Amino acid sequence: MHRLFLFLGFMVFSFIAAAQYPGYKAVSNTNAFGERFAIAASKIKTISSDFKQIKNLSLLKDNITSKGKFYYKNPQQVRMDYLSPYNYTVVINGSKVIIKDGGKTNSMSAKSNKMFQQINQLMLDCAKGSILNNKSFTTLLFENTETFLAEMKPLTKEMKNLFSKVMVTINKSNFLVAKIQMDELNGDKTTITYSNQAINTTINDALFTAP
Amino acid sequence: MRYLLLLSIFFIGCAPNAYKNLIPVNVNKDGILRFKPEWKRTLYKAEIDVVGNHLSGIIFIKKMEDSTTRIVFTNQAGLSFFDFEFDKNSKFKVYSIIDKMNKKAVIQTLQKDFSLILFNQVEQPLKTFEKNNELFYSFENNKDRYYYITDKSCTQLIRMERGSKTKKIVTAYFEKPNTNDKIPETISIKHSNFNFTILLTQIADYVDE
Repeated sequence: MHRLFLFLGFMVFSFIAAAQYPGYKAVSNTNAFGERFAIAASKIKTISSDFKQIKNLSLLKDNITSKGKFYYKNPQQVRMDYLSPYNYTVVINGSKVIIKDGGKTNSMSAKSNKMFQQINQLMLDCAKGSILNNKSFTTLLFENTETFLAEMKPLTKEMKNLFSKVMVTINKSNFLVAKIQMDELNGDKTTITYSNQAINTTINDALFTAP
Repeated sequence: MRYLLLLSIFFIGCAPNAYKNLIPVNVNKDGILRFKPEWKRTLYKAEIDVVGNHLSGIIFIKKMEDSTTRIVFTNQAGLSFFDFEFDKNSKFKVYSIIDKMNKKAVIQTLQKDFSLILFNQVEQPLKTFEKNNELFYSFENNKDRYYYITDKSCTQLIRMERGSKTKKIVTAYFEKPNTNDKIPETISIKHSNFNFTILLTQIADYVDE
């Protein structure tokens, strides 16, 4: 009798997990994923790509679309150049954050601010896919034939204030992050999709120091 | 030092009455309505400076099917700062606002600033005045007075103001208004009593391809 309940319970749980993301099933061995991922990531020195960001305003049933260029250099340099709807650049270089907005350049250290630190870490982890190591989130992993889907639920107060969850889609073929979806508490979603990804091309260090 | 103090008291005491010598005039009060912006769906690059803090992002103004106007401010990365609504009777509602801005004084100030540029309540009976070759179209709302100021022949909107009976609190300008579709290209809002400015510049809007 006990076993039957357990079994039924397990069936219901699997059904819920599967229903959450159609076409995806839970990954049972996340350690194996972590190892394979670490090997793939160690071979990636740089990534450059295009990105398209769509902010979905749920209540207004409307979207705001931005586009730009993305650069990553192992281990902790990220640059996002927004080219439309207007020019705006964010650079993460370790714990340093540089923002160029029109003619103004602002440089700050993320060390003094927990929220900045965690956003920085999230951006770096999403750039290189090392999300399982992120301590500010608890992550469930799903897969279909082509991709892994990591569902990240915030653990810290700072991240809970910003997101209900973050979902990262990773290509199985090259272990590159293809898409990030950030769900806000008010139901709005921001999706960043990467395209034309080039790996290990030369990226000038100056991109991460002087925007 | 004492001299400076005395001097400043003197100046505060003598702060000029911004709305002195307004002379009531009888003009067509509907004239001001032609300057009311008609937003359908417009994106602005937004720069907000408030006592040393600089916020930048996108302000999205949308007129909904039920005639409510929504004003949403997000940062470039997509995170929302606030989401406000004015319904067709100018009733105000906050859908969301980040913790840091969630203060009564901040919300009230933003509500009044946006009311001014949305021309909320200008359909009601207005008082009209004249001063220095300018026409003032004015109404009261609680302790606030709203002024829409044009040239003498009401062919050009010069500026908008909110104040008390005697003191100016906020001045707003529409620049390069696109007269065909009645949507201002830039909007600036500046407070006189403390360091708070809002600058909105229209940006191209990419509806999803």
